[in-house]
Amino acid sequence: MAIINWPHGIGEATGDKLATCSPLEMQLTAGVIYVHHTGSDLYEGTDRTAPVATLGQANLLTGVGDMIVMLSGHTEKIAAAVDLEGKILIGAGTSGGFPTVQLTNDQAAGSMLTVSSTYPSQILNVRLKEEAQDNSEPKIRVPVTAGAFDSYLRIRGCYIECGAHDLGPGLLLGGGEGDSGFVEIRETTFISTATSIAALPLCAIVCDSTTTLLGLIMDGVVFDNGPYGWYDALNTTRYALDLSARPIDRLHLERLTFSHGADANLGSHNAGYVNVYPSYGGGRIDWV
Amino acid sequence: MALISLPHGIGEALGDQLVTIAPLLVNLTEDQGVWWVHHTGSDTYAGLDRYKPFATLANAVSVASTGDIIVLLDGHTETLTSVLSISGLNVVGAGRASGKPTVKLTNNQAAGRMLLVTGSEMTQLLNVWIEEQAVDCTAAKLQIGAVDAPHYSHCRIRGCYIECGAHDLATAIHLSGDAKIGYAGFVEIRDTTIISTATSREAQPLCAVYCDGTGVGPHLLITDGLTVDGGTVGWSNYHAIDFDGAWGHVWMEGVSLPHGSDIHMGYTWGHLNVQPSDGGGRIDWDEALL
Repeated sequence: MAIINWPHGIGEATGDKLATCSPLEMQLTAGVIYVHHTGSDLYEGTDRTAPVATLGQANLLTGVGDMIVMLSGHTEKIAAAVDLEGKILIGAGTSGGFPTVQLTNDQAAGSMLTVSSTYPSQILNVRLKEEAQDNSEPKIRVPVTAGAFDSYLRIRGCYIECGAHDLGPGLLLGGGEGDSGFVEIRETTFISTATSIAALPLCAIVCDSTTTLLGLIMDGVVFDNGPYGWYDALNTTRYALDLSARPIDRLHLERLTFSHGADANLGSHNAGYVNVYPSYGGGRIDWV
Repeated sequence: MALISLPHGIGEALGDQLVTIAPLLVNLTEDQGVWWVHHTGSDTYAGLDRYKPFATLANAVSVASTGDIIVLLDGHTETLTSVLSISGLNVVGAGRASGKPTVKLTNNQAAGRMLLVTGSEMTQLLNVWIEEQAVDCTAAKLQIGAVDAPHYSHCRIRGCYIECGAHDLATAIHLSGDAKIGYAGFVEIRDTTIISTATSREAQPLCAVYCDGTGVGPHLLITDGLTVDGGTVGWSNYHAIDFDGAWGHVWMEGVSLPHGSDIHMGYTWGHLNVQPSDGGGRIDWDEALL
């Protein structure tokens, strides 16, 4: 373990507040690893001027509590799942209201990001592009195995695109042998970028039938149908947000936006509350 | 289950966003759902009508079911004389003035916690002013995780203002880390101030946040916009926030430590961002072992 002090923080001018705030003090396993596609996986990655080139390499170099900073403008195609295992994945830089770090999954049957351990993980200020090829797996899966306390995942400031090749959901809650813990999503957009009614993405968020989530917290999350919406094989209503499969102990959903008619099924067994901002389109909420 | 639609939300102009946002859909295990409290009301009322509220939070808690929302109306004041378990409830104060909640709760017990969060259901305490203890008290104002069965208890605190004075002989918030009596699991504190209001160095409050270190500690503590203010004479415990030997994770952003409040991070993992402030606050962080 190491306790490290950054008097000027991570030092980014724009991006998630964790990358812009200062000073910053951390207790970590290994430290902070920087990533940019112009770097090299031969570098150690601990210096922002000599970053590693790939997220996969950064993941190999980091442990529980460590931070992976993807420098502004980093782009990468992901060919194997990256298991966060208690790490902080943070993109630096925003432009036009979007994160400038862009990740694209390029697998036929694999998730881009997973959270398999009981250690809490974060995904901050990253743009996840639509799948590069037909893929039946979710972009983000939490968790893939059970633990004593279960997992915790925070997603903040992300922009998640789902297109014609997204045969799985943007985010899958559950999907393993055990239960999820808590998932918190803030200031994040899920959007369907399909360009044809004949080839739609599955849905933005779905709750797997094996899940018993303790809590789902959302604040400032946008679900956008785009021009053509979602497919949602579970329901003919084609929900963008589908929590119907299994119980979630508590929903705290505040300041949600359902644009272009995006719909939600909050699951008849799920207790809690939801507040939806006025928006255009005929979005509906089913909760009985 | 019962689905309740509030097209205009809870309907308050000021207070936590839970009482100001609209519309609001609430899905609950029972069909009551939203309870109202103001000291000018009566505990003989049904408490389901904002114009006929209960008089006491204690009565509302006694009839509320898990997941219910208890709205403490603008200006409500109450002195508690017994421990109140708010586990699984959403307790939210309406109204704000000069940047502080207008709902005020005071503890008047010598050895009793004011508010208790046990069980694994998510609890929320939002936009409430908790005043300094009325009498010398050796128990925390708010304890998270404290039953004789090891499991995790979860709580979100937002927009609160918590005063600790000469009679606060215990911490304001106690995060239990004892494997034998139950842990604090997921705890989130946002936009909340904990301040020492003592006026004499001979009678300081103990501390703002304390985590005992007999076991695992809280699994995850998230703070954003937490201010721990030493006030005029500070705290009797050296550290205002004290993770005493606990293990766990912390994500602390936007922490302010005015007037010399100090933090002991113990063996926690995670990150801490402290905003510039006056006074000589320090951070002690023990290196964890793998």
